[in-house]
Amino acid sequence: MWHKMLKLTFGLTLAALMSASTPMNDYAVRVQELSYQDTSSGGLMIHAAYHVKNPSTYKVTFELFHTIDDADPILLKAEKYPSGVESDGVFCDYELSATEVGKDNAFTFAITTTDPSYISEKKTIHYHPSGEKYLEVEEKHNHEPLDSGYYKEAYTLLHGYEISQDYFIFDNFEETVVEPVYKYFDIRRFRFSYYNSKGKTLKATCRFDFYDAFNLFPGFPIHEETMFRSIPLTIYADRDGYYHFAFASHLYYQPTTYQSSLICEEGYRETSLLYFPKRYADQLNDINCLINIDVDSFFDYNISATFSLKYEKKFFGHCTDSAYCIESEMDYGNNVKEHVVEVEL
Amino acid sequence: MILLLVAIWGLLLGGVSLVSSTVYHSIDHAFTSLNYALPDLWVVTDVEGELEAPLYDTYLVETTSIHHLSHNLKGVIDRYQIGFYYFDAETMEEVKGRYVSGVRLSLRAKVPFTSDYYKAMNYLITETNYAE
Repeated sequence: MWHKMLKLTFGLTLAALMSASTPMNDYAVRVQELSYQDTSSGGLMIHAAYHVKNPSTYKVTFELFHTIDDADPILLKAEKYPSGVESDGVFCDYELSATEVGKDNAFTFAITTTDPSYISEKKTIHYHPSGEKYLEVEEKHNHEPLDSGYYKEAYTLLHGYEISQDYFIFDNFEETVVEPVYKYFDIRRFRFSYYNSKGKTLKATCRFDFYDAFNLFPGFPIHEETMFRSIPLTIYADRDGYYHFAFASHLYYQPTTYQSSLICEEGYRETSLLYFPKRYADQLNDINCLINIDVDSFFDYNISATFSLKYEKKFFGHCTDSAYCIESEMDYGNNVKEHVVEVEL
Repeated sequence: MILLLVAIWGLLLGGVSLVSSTVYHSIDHAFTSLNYALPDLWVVTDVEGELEAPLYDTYLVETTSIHHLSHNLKGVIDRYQIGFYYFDAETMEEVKGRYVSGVRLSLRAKVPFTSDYYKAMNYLITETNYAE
């Protein structure tokens, strides 16, 4: 069940990362302790302790969740750390009555901060009233900016003394993606590296979503969560070991209008690119897009990269802002062998 | 009596002139407004390659032009002649084939009580300074 909760709460928006400033070195926040104790009334006292240094640098939120059996997590307590207070061993206690304790209980203490480059932590303990030994699972999620345009994310799972780690480096994900001309979008432009501490290959389900503000892409389904048009993606590795995205199946486009579709309609051609309809370059020059990666690793988690898609110029249009244009002129000559069609109305 | 006949003759001439002028302008408007239809008629023959230069599809140019003119001239005249001449936009030399970078369109139509309408326009697909 805790897997499910992680998935719910673990989404990361790369756009937020990219707008972040350099992390403050003297800023720190971490979980120190998470434990429980039987109470005299038959209930349970949950005890969490955490450490905060320089809390005013970023907003910090502490949340204590309780998951009974396979139900959805219940938020027991949430605290926003008061600005300016620095402390070691701050407590967050919560008492459950005997009726609130289930057969299989999981308590998760999560820290999230607005500092996009610092560690976010979750710690989970399991409690069984039957007296089974509890299992402690600690998840750490660390993402930090590398050099300009480079970002890395690491996911760590501590399961007893065993450590598993996923490590991603996204080296050309930008907040704004600028294509040279308005014509089509090639999703294969993105690349990333992936390492797993157990040497496992990457298993993930991915999709590309984009906001269709003018309803110009009716050939693609709308994702029920984002309400964006959605195209399933697949991942492939290139010769250098980098991973890339590609559309999971062929797309189709109408060759004269450049209308795109996931379904092959009459007169459409197969393509691996997302074509943009002609004449709408002005309307489609700032498209909100999202790449979603549901990673199936030692635990399930989600990475979501948002970006804005823009174009430097139109492919075809006015001669002042397009790569190609039409020039027209009166022709006063009459000495060409033209092909003449007589039309009767 | 003579004055009356002169007045009627004048009115007839004025009416004929008005009709001729209206028909002429309708034909001219139909022809010059092809300007707005032609920018959508480009295609790229090898779309999966690099950004290849767009070209006119001659079949598309002919069908679209005839459809556009017929739609706009129905009820104005009863027939017209449209001429197509295809050329390379850089060399201006004639090109035979389906995909071209230049097209010359000419329109000829009879206008009642006056000389025929005749006009020709060249449309050239050109690479701008913005192209890579």
